[in-house]
Amino acid sequence: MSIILEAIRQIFKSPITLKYPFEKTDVPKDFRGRPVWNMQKCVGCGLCSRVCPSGAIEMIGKGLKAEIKHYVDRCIFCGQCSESCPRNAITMTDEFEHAGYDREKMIYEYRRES
Amino acid sequence: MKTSRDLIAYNDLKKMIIEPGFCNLCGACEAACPVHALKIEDRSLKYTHDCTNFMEFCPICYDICPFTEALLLETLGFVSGAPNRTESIGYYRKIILAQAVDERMREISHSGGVITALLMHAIKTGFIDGAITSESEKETPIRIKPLLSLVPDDLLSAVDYEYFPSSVAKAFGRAVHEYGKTKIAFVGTPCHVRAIRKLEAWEHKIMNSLKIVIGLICLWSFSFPKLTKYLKEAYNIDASDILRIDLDKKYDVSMKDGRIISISIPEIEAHTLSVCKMCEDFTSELADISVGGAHPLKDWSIVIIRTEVGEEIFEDAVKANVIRTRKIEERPDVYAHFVEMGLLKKRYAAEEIERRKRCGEPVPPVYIRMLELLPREISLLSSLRAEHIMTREIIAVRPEYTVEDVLTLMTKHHHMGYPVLNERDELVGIVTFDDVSKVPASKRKETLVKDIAHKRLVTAYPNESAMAVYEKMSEHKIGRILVVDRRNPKKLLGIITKTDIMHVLRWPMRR
Repeated sequence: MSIILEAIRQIFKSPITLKYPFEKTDVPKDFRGRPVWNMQKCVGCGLCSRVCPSGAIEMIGKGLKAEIKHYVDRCIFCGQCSESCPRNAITMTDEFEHAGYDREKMIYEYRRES
Repeated sequence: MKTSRDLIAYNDLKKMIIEPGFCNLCGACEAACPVHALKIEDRSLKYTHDCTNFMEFCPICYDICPFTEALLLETLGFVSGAPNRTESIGYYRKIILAQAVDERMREISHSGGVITALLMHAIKTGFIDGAITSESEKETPIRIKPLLSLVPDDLLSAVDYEYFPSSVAKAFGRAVHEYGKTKIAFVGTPCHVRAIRKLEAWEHKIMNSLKIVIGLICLWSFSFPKLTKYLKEAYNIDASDILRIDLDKKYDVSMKDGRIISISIPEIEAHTLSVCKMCEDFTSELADISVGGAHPLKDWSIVIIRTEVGEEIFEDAVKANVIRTRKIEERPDVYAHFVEMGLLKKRYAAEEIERRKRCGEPVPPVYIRMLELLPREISLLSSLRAEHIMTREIIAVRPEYTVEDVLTLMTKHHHMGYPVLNERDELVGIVTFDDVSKVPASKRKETLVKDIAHKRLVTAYPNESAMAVYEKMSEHKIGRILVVDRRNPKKLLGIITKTDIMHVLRWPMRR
């Protein structure tokens, strides 16, 4: 009996399923999307590249002249880099659509503007 | 001062701070180090593992050490929003006398009990969720260790004096990392406050959890082995028998059996930490609120409120009837004693730095920082003229004023020096706190300003560069300079103090 009632109730509700990618829902709070570096804050300590479990972060150069290369294709979005950064220079954004055909396009570079 | 820096800051820190013995074990470096390479253990700083294994470059531990020159002007930004500033107490909103309403707190703290009452109230209302203070060790009560209080009653064991080093900044790091606290109140001596503010200026991650900084008023911290050895030899007392130490005009050492031994300041001075002798900061000039004893009033404390958040928490406590206040103007003697101690500390510091420089002994970089300006700052000061930075609203005194009147003025306006103008508004001299304090209290009513004022003045002209003014000040070792008209040197136009110059240097980096 209750099953039938439930079924009738569902008929009048709008569907939960979204027509992705045409409709999108907001990501939850504290979602770990693509990490982004704020190079004004980065001091170039290199901790993020050390802790990265999948080796997705490469640091070129030292200190304030350092450049960061982030390979999104290797990234597992664990958030270790932003956790380890002593100065909150890395934030995890809401971006989660990274699929593509070219690995070269999945490299993000960050450079300090002086 | 070194201009080029090592890639790994620890090498610099070791050379400039640790090896000359300037470390006071505050533990800020331990709290800040991202790879936990530094540790305070058994009252010494240990480098537990080589941090170059993890990092190519890291400036943190040197930058945030309270005794290095880095970030010093940036830290001023946390208090420079305050409307008033004077040379002796820094930036402030207001100065008042206060005490805890609860008698129990006053008894425990032996003075106003303001900090205890304030923090207990703040925890109760949820303004903060933890407070870092210090508490006595069981066996030797004068030796203190950091205390993290999470509920109001924890605070009853906290002490409001820190005559010996306590690793409170380290405790702050622990409160964030291990307890996960997000609204922390921090209580510490001026150097601890500076360490915390430097961490904040560095934008260190753990500082997101800082809510309020309460500074203690501190003359010096003692070296535990040095002082106990001296007390043993001179007075035959064991460190473990000492209950507490109080400072008014002398150091009163209270024993567990009720005896009190008074030791004068010059006598005890040799047993302080070497770095404290060079410290100029008496009132925790970077804190949100500074609190200290109000000698000769028992049961009251002097409270200096410097920032908005400090005012908010304090007003809240007053409204909730946890703290009661009194105007400082009612007791000029309290204020006079307070400033006298502050100037004493500054004087000792200036002498010690001078002596060390002469003898070629090392001086912590933080104390050299303000004596030797950076090229950027020199060019900034050279581009400004005296008329740009001088204060135009001048409070002046007449030659016929008594010393008592001047003291009342000082308590009211908190400035330390006043130009003397005669009835035709001509500049005839300057009277400073130093001159006033030389007059014994019994003669303050009879002595007139014209008898004690300085007649030979160091003056500047409005179109002189600020750099020239600064050089004049350093050359004559004075804290303030009078700006007069070039054509008529008797006509006073403005006044420039050292604090004004510091304020100017902060201009380009205002947020």
